[in-house]
Amino acid sequence: MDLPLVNDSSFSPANPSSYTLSEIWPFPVNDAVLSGLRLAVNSTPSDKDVSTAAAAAAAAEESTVTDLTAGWGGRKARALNSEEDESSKMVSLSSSGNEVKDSGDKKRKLCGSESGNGDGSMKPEGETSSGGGSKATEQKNKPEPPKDYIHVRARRGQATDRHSLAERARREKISEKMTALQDIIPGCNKIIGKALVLDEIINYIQSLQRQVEFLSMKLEVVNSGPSTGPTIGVFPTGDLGTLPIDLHRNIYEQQEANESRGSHPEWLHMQVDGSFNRTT
Amino acid sequence: MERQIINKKKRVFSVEPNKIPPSEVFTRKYTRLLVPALKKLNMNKNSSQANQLTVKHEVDMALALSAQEFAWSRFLLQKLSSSNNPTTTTSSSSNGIRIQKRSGKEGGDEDGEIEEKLRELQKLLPGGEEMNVEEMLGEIGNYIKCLELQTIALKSIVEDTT
Repeated sequence: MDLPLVNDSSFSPANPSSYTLSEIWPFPVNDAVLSGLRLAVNSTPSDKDVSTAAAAAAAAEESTVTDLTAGWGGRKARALNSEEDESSKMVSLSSSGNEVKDSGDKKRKLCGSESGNGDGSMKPEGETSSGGGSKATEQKNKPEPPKDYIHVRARRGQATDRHSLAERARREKISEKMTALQDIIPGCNKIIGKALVLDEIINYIQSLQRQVEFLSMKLEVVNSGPSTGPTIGVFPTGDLGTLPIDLHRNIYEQQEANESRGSHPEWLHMQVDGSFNRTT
Repeated sequence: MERQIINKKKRVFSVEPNKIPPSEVFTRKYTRLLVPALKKLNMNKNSSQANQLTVKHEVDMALALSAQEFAWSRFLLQKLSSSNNPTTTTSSSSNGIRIQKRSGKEGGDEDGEIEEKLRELQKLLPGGEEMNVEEMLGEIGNYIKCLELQTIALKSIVEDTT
């Protein structure tokens, strides 16, 4: 299909410049094909040799093409698509495509990093050549598809189409947030496994909410004076008017104490006071 | 969002007097809101209101108003203004029972379990059901911090009056 490009004229000694692969083959080249073509280029150009070399190269190319038909076509289509989509980046794409030694992945990395300088919006559609719309499956090399805005490293053997990349990015973000939550909640560092951590979080929030409820009940009793308290001795009344100034200091001291201890034993203490059972 | 959480964890007494750590900000706002409200309630206690619910209402209101930079506070305010009865924590005990039951039965799809727990979490957070999971996880962090600060503040208020 690309046979006309590799014909006698390009191998004629009259124009040695076209020995470079870039002019013969403006698209990114797979390693197998590259080695095959290089063999053809390096051989002494006589007509007969060249034709056989060209035939060999073509054959090699054909075989590799049949090997990776989907990927090959997909990659070229993708390259085309990317060039059409982002016209502003056409220059950079073609310039990177001209580098002879580059494999296709490097090209993707280059244009990914170049386009990575764009604005940091979260649209996964901004991917250039890595995602594509095509159903191209795993390449033989280790794929490194940096997305436009979110750089996700796909490991070997993992699908590199757009949806799974987006999924993976989403999952990584979620686990990031879960680790952040683990830092907040006391005793959660040692727990491994999302489900258990989530359990802990849920229990913690519930106990906090119950505490608030209990405290507000207590407050309400305190507030309303001795006539409505359950037992006079247990909940002595006070005057809220004397509160404000010292209150902040007390709160901060308690907070400091809590944080230095690294745990919250006071609310455990609370549980004993109240009539609530802690569900663990 | 994570930075806010981390900032709230550390109480930094900075040299610059203008920067106040967010936890302090929250606590100050909270107490300043709550104490006068309670005083007012105290004055009005002769009128036949359901005292317990009203105190809770004030407590929640103070929480929501002191944390207005977060999404969940908006939802909390909505809930409070729409109904006089606070609904945030009344379902907590029932949720606790459900958690116990669920942990009893093992097996099933692991991802499904996690999703169920996430949904549970969403119910706990005011407005959590209207957010997507990532947002919610971020908001939960500062909700927890605010709850902690709130309990400390309430405790101090109670202790000071006894």
